[in-house]
Amino acid sequence: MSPILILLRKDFAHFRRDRGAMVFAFLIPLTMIILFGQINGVNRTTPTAGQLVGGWAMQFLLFVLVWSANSLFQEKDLGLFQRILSGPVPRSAILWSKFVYGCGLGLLQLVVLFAAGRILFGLEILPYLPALALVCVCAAAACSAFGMLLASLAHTLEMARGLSTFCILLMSALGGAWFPVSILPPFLQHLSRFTLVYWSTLGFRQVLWEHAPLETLLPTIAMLVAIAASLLALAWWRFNRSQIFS
Amino acid sequence: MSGPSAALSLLSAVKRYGAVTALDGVTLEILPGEFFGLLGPNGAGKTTILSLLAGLLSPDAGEARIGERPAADARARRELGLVPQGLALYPDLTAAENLEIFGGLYGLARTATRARAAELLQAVQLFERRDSLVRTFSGGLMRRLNLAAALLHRPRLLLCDEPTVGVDPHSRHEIFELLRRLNREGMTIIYSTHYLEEASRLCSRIGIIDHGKILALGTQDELLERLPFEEEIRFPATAATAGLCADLAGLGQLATEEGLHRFRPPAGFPLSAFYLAAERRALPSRLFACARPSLETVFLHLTGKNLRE
Repeated sequence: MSPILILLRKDFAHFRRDRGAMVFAFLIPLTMIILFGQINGVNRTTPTAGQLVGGWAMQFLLFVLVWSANSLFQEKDLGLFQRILSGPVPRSAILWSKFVYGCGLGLLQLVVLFAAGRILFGLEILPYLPALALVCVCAAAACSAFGMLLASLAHTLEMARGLSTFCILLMSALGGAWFPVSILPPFLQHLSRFTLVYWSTLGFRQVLWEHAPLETLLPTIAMLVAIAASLLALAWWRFNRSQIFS
Repeated sequence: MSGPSAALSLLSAVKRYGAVTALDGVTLEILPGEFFGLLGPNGAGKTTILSLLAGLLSPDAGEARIGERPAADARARRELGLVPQGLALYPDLTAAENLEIFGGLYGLARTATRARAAELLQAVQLFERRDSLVRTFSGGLMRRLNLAAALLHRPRLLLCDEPTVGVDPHSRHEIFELLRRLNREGMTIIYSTHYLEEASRLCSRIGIIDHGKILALGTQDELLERLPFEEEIRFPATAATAGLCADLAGLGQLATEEGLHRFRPPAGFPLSAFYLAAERRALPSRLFACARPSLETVFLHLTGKNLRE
């Protein structure tokens, strides 16, 4: 089995045993979706259901994936990289496994939250499943790459946590995770396009409310892929210059 | 120059961390089958030496080699096992799961890893705890598992970086016994420690390191031979012994530390002369303890300080 798959298996085994992570990944966003769904009187006849589920899912996706990338610091502190890298495993295997784990975990979280949206608010998912799956994969990849970048920029776990909380809350507010971007002033609406939350929530809206065909959806998908690729490339560059593997 | 038979070697290796020179031109050759001790205080450069040999760091100058290959070569590193100073284990996985992961990372097939993990868990007496989460282990049990994880792929060379820090006497004994057995079976071991007793008990050859330089290298006997004295007589530093100290002036080295005088006569000095001087001062013989100098004495002689300072 390849080192990436072995490290992935380890991360998922770790996640299964971590009740705190389970609560944070599933229970808290579900609670928020139910709570705000009740407050806003969400139902299938308004675009609010897709906005609500997609928005909260994106915010908690970011939190969970940044937390996942930050586990690199804990593994460094435990001396695990010394053991792994003294063998035949290259450091790129560690980074790829973290990124793919983030994508997998993010996808799992989105599946659970959209399934909950279907049950709770009658969100129409099944007719648009392929398109929704495509947006979910790209959004999870972009969020995972963002988590990797933050971990590569920070020097310590504490710094990574502080930086990520600030960035996630800012991106969530600007990108339309909490409320539609259309209610923001024009200047902020322009700014919101620079966040990955904007493109992800746009993708969810296009699929679940506008029922957009693939050609309409493609620019959004392309944007998410570009964001994921550029953030990941930046993170790689930073990791190769940081002290995390020393 | 490194001979072709060296299992591990450093050739004029220099490593700097910013303005700090951690290794200052260290040359070291470890022969196959040796149990080599790297003895020095914290911050002396022991971990840096092991990191260079494990390919985790690159020297700023000089070379680190595993056999004939550079230590950075991934194929060469397959022959090497590292027991890091930190407990390099996943705390939320079981002992068996940890070993399965590390075995897999070394390219062992799953069934082979399981069999080898069971064998090693037996060897470190953790088989009964194989399904327990590592975070429930005591420090000693974690240290034993830390060692087992380095042995999964049957390395020929083992680098141990202070593997007994913070362990109970029982676990320490278990670790020593296993390392001795592995060395008898032909494994080359480098054992870094700041415990003199460990180096003297385990190692066939010892390198004393301080401030990034190897100060002395040899068997324990060879190191002791470097001392300008063969015996050390210790007696309490009290008013009663002050006169004796005056009598001993010029006859050998006299050092006082923590309420204890240490008299080190030159080679060939008749001990009877010392005891006659003590008798003249009416000092009872029970005050005096004559001992062969230890590695600690060698360290003190070489650096002017105690290892624990």
